[in-house]
Amino acid sequence: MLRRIPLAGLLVICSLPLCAQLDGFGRDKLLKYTAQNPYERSVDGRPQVPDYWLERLEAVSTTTAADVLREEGYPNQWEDGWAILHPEKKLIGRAFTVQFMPSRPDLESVLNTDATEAVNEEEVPTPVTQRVMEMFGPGDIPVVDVMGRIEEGTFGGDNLIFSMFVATGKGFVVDGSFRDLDGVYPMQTMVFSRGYHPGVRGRTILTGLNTPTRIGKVTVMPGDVVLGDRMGIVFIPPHLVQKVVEHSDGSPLF
Amino acid sequence: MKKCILALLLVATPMWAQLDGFGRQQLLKYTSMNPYGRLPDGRPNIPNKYIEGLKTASSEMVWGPMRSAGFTNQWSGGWQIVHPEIKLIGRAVTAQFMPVRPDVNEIIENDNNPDKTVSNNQRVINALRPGDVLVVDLFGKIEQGTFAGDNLTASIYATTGNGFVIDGAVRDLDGIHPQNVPVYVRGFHVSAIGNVMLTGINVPVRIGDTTVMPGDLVVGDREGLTFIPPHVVSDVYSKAKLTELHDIWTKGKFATGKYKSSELYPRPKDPALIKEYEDWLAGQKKKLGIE
Repeated sequence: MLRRIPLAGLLVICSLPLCAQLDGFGRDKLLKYTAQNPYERSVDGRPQVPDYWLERLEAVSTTTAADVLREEGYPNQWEDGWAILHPEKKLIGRAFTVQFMPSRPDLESVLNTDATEAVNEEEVPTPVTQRVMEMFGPGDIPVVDVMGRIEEGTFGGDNLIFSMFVATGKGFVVDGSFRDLDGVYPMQTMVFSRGYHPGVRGRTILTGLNTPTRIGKVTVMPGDVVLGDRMGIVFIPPHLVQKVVEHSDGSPLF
Repeated sequence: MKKCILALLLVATPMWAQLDGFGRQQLLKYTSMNPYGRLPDGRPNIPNKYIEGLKTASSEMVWGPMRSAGFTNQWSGGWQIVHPEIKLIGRAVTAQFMPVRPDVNEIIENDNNPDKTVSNNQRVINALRPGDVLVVDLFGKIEQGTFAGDNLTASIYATTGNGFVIDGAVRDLDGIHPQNVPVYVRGFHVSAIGNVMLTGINVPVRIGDTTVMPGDLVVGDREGLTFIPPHVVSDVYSKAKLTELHDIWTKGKFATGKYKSSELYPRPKDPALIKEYEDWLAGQKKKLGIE
C-alpha cells in the first residue's frame, strides 16, 4: 500500500539530485544508450520489459540464455563467482543499477552540497543507503556495484533488506556484501553477493543511479533483465529477451 | 600552423566524452576546489614546480600529508612495475573501459569514430599532452586487457615524456623494457586489446581502492601510486619535503655509527643535536622556500 504513494512521487524524486550521485548520465543519456528497447519505459526512463516475458523466463536456465546472447553477439553478459542465498530459486526482474566508488573528500563535499540543496533543511538527512532503497519499485532488482568489497562493502542488513524486499517483491544483486545474514536468510529471497560482513559500509561515495554499471565481467544497463539461477547471473538487454525466451521454448538451440 | 588548427579541432570536439554524460561541465563542477589554471581540456593544471619538487618523494612522504588533509583512499598498491627505479609523476589523464556490449558500443563508436579509422586505445593516446600521466581503468583485465604494446608505448612516451598506469595489461614487454619508462600494470599478455568498449576519457575512474579524477597529480614509486588532488598539492609538497629532509639528516647521523636508534629517531634527544638538526633544517627550508 505504501509503495503506491512513492510511485506517484517518483517523477519528482528522479528530477531532483536527491541522492546526489555524480550527475551527467541522466534520463536523456539513458534513452540514447538503450535506444534499441522495443517496450515501454518506467517513469525513470528505464526500459520496462513486460511481465509477460519475465514470467516466461522462469523456464529458462542461465546457460541457455547465455548461449542465445553469445549467438547474438553478446558474449559478455554472464557473471559468476557469487555467494548465492536460496540458490533453489530464480531471480528475475528489471535491473536498477547503483554504483559506489572509493570516497574522497573533495567529491564528497560537492555531492553533499547537492544532497542538502535537494531536501528540506529541517529534516534529518536520510542515510545514503536508505535514500537509494526508497527509490526501488515493484519488479526492480537492485544491482549494486560496491567494487567487490566485503569489509566496508555492505549494502544493508536485515531490516533495510526486508524493506527492499517488500518494495520490489524481488531479491537483489550486490557486487559487495551485506550484513545480518541470520536475519536475511529466513526471508526466503534469492540474493547474489560476494560475501557477508558484520560491519557497515564505509569509505564509499554514491556515484551512479541507473547509469551503466560494471558487475564483474558484465556491463549492466538500467532496465536489463536480470536472470539468476544457481549457476550465476545473465543480464539480458531488453531487445533480446523475446529471442531468449523463444529459443528456449521447447527447442533447445544446442 | 596546420598543427595548431588540428589541435583546436581536437579540443573543440567532445572527443573525451565517449559514452557521454560526464563532460567538461561536470569536470569543472567536481574539481571546483582546484586553485590553479586549467588545461585546454578542462583539467586542473598543477604547476610544474610541484611536479619537479615531488620527483624525489616516496609513497610514505606523501601518505602522511594526504591523511592529514583527509584523503585516506588515494594510494594504490599491488602493481607489476616496469622500471620501478624511475619515478612516475605528472597530471592524470584518465580513461575508462568496460566489457563490450554491441548495443552501447555501436553508439559510442558512431559518435566518436564515425570513419572507423582510430581504434579506441589510440583515441585515448590522442588526448595526451606533455606532462600527462595516462591512467587507464581496464578493470584488472589481463587477456585482451592489453592497452598498449611497444609501439604505442613509444607513442605515449614521446607525447607525455612519462610512463603510464594500466589497471590491466601491456604486451610486447621485450620491446617496452628498453624504452626506460616506468609502466604500472597488473600483468602482461600476448593478446591484443579486445572485447572492451571505451566508456570515458577524463572521467572519474576507479583504480584499485582509489577514485582518480582527471588532473590529479600521479606520484609513482617502487611501492605504488598516489593520486593527489590539486587543491592539496602545495601542502603535500611542503610536508613531504620536511619528511625528506628529516630522513636525509637522520640517516646521515645513523651512518656515523655513534648513535643508538632512540637517540635520533623519531627526533634527536640531546639538546645540542636538536639545535644542530633545527639549524640545518632551517637552512634547507630557506633554500627550498618552504615553511
